[in-house]
Amino acid sequence: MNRNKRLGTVVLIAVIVIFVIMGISFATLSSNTSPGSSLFGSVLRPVQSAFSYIGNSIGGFFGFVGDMRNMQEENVELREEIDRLSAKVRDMESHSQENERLRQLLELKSNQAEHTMVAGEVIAKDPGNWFYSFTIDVGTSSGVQKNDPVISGTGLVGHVIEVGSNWARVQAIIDSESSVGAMISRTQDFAIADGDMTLANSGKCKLSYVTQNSSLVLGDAVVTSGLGGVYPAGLLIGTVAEIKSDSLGYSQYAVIDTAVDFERVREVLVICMGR
Amino acid sequence: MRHVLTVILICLLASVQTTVLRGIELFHVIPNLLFIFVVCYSLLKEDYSALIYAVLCGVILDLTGGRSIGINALLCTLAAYLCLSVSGNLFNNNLFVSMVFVFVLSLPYELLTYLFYFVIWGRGAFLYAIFLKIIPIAAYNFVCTMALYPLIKKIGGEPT
Repeated sequence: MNRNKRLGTVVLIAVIVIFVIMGISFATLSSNTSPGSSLFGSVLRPVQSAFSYIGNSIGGFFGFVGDMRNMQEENVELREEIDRLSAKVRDMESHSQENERLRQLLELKSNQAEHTMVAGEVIAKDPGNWFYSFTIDVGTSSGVQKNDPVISGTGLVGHVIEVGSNWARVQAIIDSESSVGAMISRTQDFAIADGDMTLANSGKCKLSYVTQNSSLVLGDAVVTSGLGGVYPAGLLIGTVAEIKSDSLGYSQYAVIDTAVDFERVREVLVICMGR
Repeated sequence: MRHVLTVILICLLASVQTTVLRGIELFHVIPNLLFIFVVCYSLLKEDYSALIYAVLCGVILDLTGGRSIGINALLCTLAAYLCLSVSGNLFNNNLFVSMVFVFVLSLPYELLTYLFYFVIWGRGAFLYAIFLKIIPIAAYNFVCTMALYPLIKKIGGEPT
């Protein structure tokens, strides 16, 4: 009996303890922190923070020293990367410019659709100081003939004066021996675009035989007239940069700023006239 | 072997003359490397192989220039002959003498070129041609002789 009574007491105590523990547990779960841990955390936090700060600082210092070597290597790699990317950008700019030039050439080609066009590249220039001619890498094997007009993406370049099987020599319109039948686009007045030794250096030529009553103004576009049998009509020669009267006052002449930059011309199109 | 090297040098100079030389234009003129070669070689060698090379250089200039064949060949040969006539007899050849010869002979060379291609065809601008073409070309040739002379001396060899 006593034994049963003692067992009942133990069971009762155990049940009470279990209930107490369950009660505390439910109370803890219902709030964010338990009062004990809250108190513990509040007391310990400044100490933890201080240690953490000191630890981080020391760790950061040793980490910085340790990373110095990596940073130097990374710096070298990044510089190399910058160099590579800069070279790539320059390359892309060059391609972009070439693309633009070729696009202009294609546009011109479509404007002269009735003639066959042959694309060529400038491979040599005149060895002397008196003439403005250059050699291109296409010749009779590509259908190029003497007197065929040559254009670039921006306008008229000149015409073929000599031709071989795989080369042709082109006389530029600024050459002092060059003479092109011209027309002022706005007024439809005819004139002659002559090369002039004193203007050629600056990429200009002279528009001669402009009548005194012609209402020429600065900026007028000058195109080929189609007269003379060498150049087809409508090719842009340049724009009027200066207007002057001759010494007798019977006629005026103009200085044309040519559309083509003759110092930098590289790709050209030969218009095969099939003469 | 020296002749082979000399011909290679002439071809090299001709290639440079017609391609990259435009990149070093000064006052809108370029030097005439083949003419410098003709003068320096004639002064150095003092034998008649210089005349053959002068004709060769002149013909190359005529061919690459695409104008009347013979003018440059004639002028180069005359320049070489003049150099052969006076060199060795009057003074010892050196860099400075070559530079002076190149400058002095460049003036009539360019002047005759101008007369033949422009004046007789009625195209003038005489003062422009003298002051902005002929004298700058001669001066540029004078300067470029400094760079070319050692090379020509090495390849062409000492006076025979």
